[in-house]
Amino acid sequence: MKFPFRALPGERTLRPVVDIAFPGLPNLTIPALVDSGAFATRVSDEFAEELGVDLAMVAAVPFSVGLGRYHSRRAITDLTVRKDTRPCEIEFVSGWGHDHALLGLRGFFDNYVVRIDAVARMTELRAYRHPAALQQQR
Amino acid sequence: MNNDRTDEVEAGDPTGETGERQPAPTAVDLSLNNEEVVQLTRADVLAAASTMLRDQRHHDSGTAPVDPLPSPDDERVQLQLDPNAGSGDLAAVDVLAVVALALNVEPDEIRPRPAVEALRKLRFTIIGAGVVANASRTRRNRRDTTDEPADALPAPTESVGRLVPGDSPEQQGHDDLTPDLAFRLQRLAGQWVAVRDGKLLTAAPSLRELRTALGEQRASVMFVPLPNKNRSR
Repeated sequence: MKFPFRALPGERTLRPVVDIAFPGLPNLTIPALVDSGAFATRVSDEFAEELGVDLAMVAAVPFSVGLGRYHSRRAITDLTVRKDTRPCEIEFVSGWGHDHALLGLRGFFDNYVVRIDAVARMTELRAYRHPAALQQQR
Repeated sequence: MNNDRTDEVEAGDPTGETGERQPAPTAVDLSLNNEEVVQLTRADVLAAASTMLRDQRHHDSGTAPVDPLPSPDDERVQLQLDPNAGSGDLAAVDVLAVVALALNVEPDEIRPRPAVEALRKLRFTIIGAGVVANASRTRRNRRDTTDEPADALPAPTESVGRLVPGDSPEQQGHDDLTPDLAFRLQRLAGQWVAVRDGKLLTAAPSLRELRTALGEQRASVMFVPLPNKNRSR
């Protein structure tokens, strides 16, 4: 799967952005920044509400991005990248306030081999045969 | 090495160094006269071309611009390229104008050869045939104001030509969030937005309200951060 670099809102700079989707919200795609420096895959917790993911019993975990401090709650949720849907570990972040999701080591890089070609401005993914979330459950 | 994790290559989507056609870049670097390197995007060139066509038609007809304008992906977007217009400083004047408009800089900040090369890298086709209808007028307009250094001319066989969009499928309406739209979304800071094919569909203060407004429409959705919000990048 190949994804040309794209701009995020408010910028003209092109970055490695991949569209993701939740099967429970089939008409919506979400631009997500590929970020190997991010520990987790993170989206706004408003998506959890729309997906009906109950996070009430999940402990909130603090983390920092840039100068911001946030709390997230983790759940394993089906995530779609183009035609590939698999269970992924997602952190739903309260007050995220960014224009993109973050695709980090857990939930994304442990599901795909990622090649970022900054010269060609292209992100290339190859899916692991066994989704990481299933491996964790073994 | 974990042998359990075997890479899975999707059928019909081969990766690696096969003969797959490289897509057109969405942006290229362009060096200005002052050596500053800026990004020229395909979307900005098309937007500038559309604006120039509209202005040109208005000027030629003496009437108000016709709406709607042709799509920038339409082959009717044809910009005159006149690299042999008498002297180097007047070369490719229309190309300079469209690139300058796309970058929001003055034309005399751009050198012709890098501008033409940048447009070619963005898969615009320069066709070396035809008649330049507006070159003399353009030259007349610019003669008193430009002091462009005599940069090398583009290929002499392309004495006259026109610039048309290329045929890269990746660039023809498949991006919901084009660079131009991404930049313009700043005015909706603090709201969720839904976009498709480079157009804003709707905006709302919450994702739930956005979904309600969207109904069954397909869209890319995102929150537009407040200007003082820390970015994750």
